[in-house]
Amino acid sequence: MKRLLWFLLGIILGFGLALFIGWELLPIQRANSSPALLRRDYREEYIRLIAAAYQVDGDLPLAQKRLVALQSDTFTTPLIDVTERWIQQGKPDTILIPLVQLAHDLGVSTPAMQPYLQRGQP
Amino acid sequence: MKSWGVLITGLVLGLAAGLVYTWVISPPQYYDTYPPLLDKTYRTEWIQMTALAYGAEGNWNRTQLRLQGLAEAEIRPIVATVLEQAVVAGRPLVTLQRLAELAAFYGVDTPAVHIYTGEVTVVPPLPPASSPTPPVIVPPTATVSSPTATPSPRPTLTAPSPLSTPQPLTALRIVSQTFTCEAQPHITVSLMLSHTITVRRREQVEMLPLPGREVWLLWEDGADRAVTGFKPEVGLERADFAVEPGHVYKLYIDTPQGVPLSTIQVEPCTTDAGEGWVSRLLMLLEQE
Repeated sequence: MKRLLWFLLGIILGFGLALFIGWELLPIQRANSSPALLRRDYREEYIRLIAAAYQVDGDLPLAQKRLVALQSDTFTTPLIDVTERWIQQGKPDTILIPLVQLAHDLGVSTPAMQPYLQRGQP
Repeated sequence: MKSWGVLITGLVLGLAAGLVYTWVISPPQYYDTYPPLLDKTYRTEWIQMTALAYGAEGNWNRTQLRLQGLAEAEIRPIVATVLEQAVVAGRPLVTLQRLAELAAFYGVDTPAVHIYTGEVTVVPPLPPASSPTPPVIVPPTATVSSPTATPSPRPTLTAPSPLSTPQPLTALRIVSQTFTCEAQPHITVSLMLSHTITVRRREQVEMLPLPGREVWLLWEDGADRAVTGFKPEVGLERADFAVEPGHVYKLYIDTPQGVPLSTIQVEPCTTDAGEGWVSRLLMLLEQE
């Protein structure tokens, strides 16, 4: 009986030590995350890339699929958030026009976007 | 076994079980990650979009930041594919040049990279206006200028190039070739559209020039590209190449891929003015 208690104590201590090693000290880094888990600046960059790629390939369903990967309530929300924030921050037209154009093509347009939409017209 | 022996045994077993659990069964879920930790599918998309964005924006530093931490071996084939697709899709030249530059940076070695990075010399599309020797028309026997003229022989089998993709079916055909003997040989392509219109219930065929189309000449170790209508005074349908004897040129329209429209060799010729080289004017017709 005493030996069983020592054995169980060893198991518990060993398992606890393993949790500390496996989750804190030496956590395994698997490349399996989704764009939704990207750090905020990378997530914004991801949205910017979607708009830039759409500007080149014109593939709206693909752009939509990529936005969906951000796992927001509505797939256009991250796009609108980033675009409006960057408009407020006064980012250059070269960045804003593709974003506004993509939003427009996805059926979203806010008053702040309107001037950029007109500037983006050929 | 003593008590401490039992404790150590339990410790080792618990440690092993715990490591299996934390590393295999339930690894930590990361938040605030960065591109190299994305799932392979998303990583591929990230690289594709970065390449396309570089093609559109041309921001080298930003592109390098975006690709930071990603393996070159992973980037290389994706960038090569993006370039290939851009060529097939007929993206603007500046986009193709940027994509080729990016691909070359990551060690991609394909004909498209050579062409668009400028490693292959692209000579001006038209010869100088003042030619030292005026062109001499070869006697009529050497001139082929009828709609029934057969195009130059095409190879029945062509080894696919690394960029080889099925060439889109096109109604383009060579309707005539005119040969002249000149000191500086050149190949001129005249690209027209055959357009049928109905006037008072009667069909009429109109011939319209096709400016802005890419014409390619590829040879063993190089390539040249011209755009029809580059010099409107010569003709909106014309594209002209200065060529050199000793090469076998393959003619393509729009994209330098697949089976060439014609294979052309620059041959010597003789006229009253002396020896020269055969220049060609190829009339190409695209039917609507």
